[in-house]
Amino acid sequence: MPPNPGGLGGTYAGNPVACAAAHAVLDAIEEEKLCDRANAIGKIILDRCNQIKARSNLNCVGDVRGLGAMCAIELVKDTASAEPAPQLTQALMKVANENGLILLSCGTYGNVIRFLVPLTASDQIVRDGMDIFETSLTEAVTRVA
Amino acid sequence: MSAKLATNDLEAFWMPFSANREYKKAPRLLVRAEGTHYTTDDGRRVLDGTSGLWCVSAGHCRPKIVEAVRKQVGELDFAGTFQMGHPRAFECASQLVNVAPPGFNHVFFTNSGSESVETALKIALAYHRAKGNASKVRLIGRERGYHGVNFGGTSVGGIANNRKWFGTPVARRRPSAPHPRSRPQRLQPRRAGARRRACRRS
Repeated sequence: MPPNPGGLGGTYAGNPVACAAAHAVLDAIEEEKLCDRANAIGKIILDRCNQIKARSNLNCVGDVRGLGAMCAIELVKDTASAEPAPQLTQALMKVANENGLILLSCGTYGNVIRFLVPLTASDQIVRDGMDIFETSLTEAVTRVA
Repeated sequence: MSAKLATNDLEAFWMPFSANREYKKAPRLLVRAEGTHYTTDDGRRVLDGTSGLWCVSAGHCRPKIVEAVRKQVGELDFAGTFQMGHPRAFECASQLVNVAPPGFNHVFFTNSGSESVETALKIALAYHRAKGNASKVRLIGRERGYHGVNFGGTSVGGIANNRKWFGTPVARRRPSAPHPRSRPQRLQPRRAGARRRACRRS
């Protein structure tokens, strides 16, 4: 072993291939202003989630929240009790997958869907994705009921 | 990017396992590699006697390997392996099992040796818990042993300099066994007995 001041290490840390990849990613983020784009995408998703929440025939959306492009929608058994609905969340992921959209669940009670689409997505792609999401949610509610 | 760097350009990178100030006073930079040799920033060709910190046993920048990496990055750069999967992970695991000795039938992928050790320690704990031995939690490390740099690996590690700044990161689980090449007096009965008692106390 070479001298190891501090005892902090990592054999692959800072290796040339990883650094080249990271460098190119940071360039893309800067050149294409992807941080601004993250805020724009987040707004589209949050607005759409809030519209879904406001739908009178769909009483299953709890909290809607997000920071930048990472957004989350909480699914509940009914909005009055706000009781978590993990089964609905699982069903939604399955239906969405069948409809061509990959989603990921999260949350302490497994009842939250988190969105983070690539920041290169156009407004239209994000809207298309949210269309699939809404259709799939409606379908999942019927399946679980 | 230019091969020659001004001293200030070296500042941001906190180098692992390195005397940073010493290094940055007289940086040694490798800028190219091919087969068994590196080329330094001042144009010297040097023989790599370490296989690039043990990571490049098949030789540096081999066209066939470079092409395989290039092809994969262009074809499927990333796909998770939680619930979903992708063919390469299964192919790679099968290939490893095929060349491994009998009894090694499964592969759990990690990103580094340290991560491998953490996972192995967790698997050992979970194994005994699943077998009904939940209290079997003591891990034994060797004097001077190296098991990576994360909490678990540091806890079972035995290199003083890698441990001394961190106390005992994971709950006291590490009676130390003597290094196999310790001087003979370490193995005398009285010393061995004292060591066993020390282990029981810990």
